[in-house]
Amino acid sequence: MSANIAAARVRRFLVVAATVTAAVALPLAAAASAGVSGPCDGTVTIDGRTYGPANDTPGNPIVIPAESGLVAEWEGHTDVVITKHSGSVGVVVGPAAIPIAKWAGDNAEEAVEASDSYPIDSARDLLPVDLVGLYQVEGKHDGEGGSCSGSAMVRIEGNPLATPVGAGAAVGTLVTGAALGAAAMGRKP
Amino acid sequence: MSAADDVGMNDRFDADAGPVVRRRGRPVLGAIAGLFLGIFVAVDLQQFAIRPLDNWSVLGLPTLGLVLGLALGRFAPLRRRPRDEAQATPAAEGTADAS
Repeated sequence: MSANIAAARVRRFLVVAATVTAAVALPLAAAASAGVSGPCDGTVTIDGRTYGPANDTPGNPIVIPAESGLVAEWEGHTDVVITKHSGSVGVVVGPAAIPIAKWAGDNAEEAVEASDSYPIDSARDLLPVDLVGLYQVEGKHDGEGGSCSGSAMVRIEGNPLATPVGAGAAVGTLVTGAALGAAAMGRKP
Repeated sequence: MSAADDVGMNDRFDADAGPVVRRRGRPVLGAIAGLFLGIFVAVDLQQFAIRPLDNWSVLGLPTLGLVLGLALGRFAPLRRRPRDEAQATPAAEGTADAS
């Protein structure tokens, strides 16, 4: 084997190694955490586990098990009275958030705390397809007297390959990976 | 018509050796495949609960895929060897061993 062929193979190996390293290592960088800012706090209890503002990282998310009949019991409070308020909660997709709930009111009774329970199956019924995976949820609540904002990570447990989105993404990854490999091999001489 | 007139827009012309057909990669295929691979990997990471669909996943991964695909397609580091070269190499090595 000549020195030129060996050098060419080393160059090709380095390009492939750099590509694989970039594709695998970079996505594993930790996501930024946010928690809650402002005079608000709250918790939610699901399946016997209580979650709060600290559950805002991919490694420490709010977990929704793949079981039916679960109820989310939540409570929230503010340190100050916020009147004529409005708020929203949305799922983060890139630079935008898809709103999933909005509210507004005068809060004439000047309440500083609220609590309720919500059957998770009701939320699942609203979805057109089964969803699993990790979601960043962010919300805000503001009005006269103060404002709050925050985010949390929510992990919906389940088998990704059993959902249309997960299975489609897996197939798409294989197909586009093969196409990228074909591009990396160049044209037939 | 001179030899230079036969050379395509993407080909080089060597004044001494005549027209030289440049071995081209597939940068367009690489860019498109890399872009969509980045999108699908972002969804995979989200579905397997590794990383949410944040800015880095939604914008960064497809951009990274686009650039890497463009580079891989342009330089074709896994380039196929020409048939005649592939057939000639073992014989040449056998000759070298025999000598």
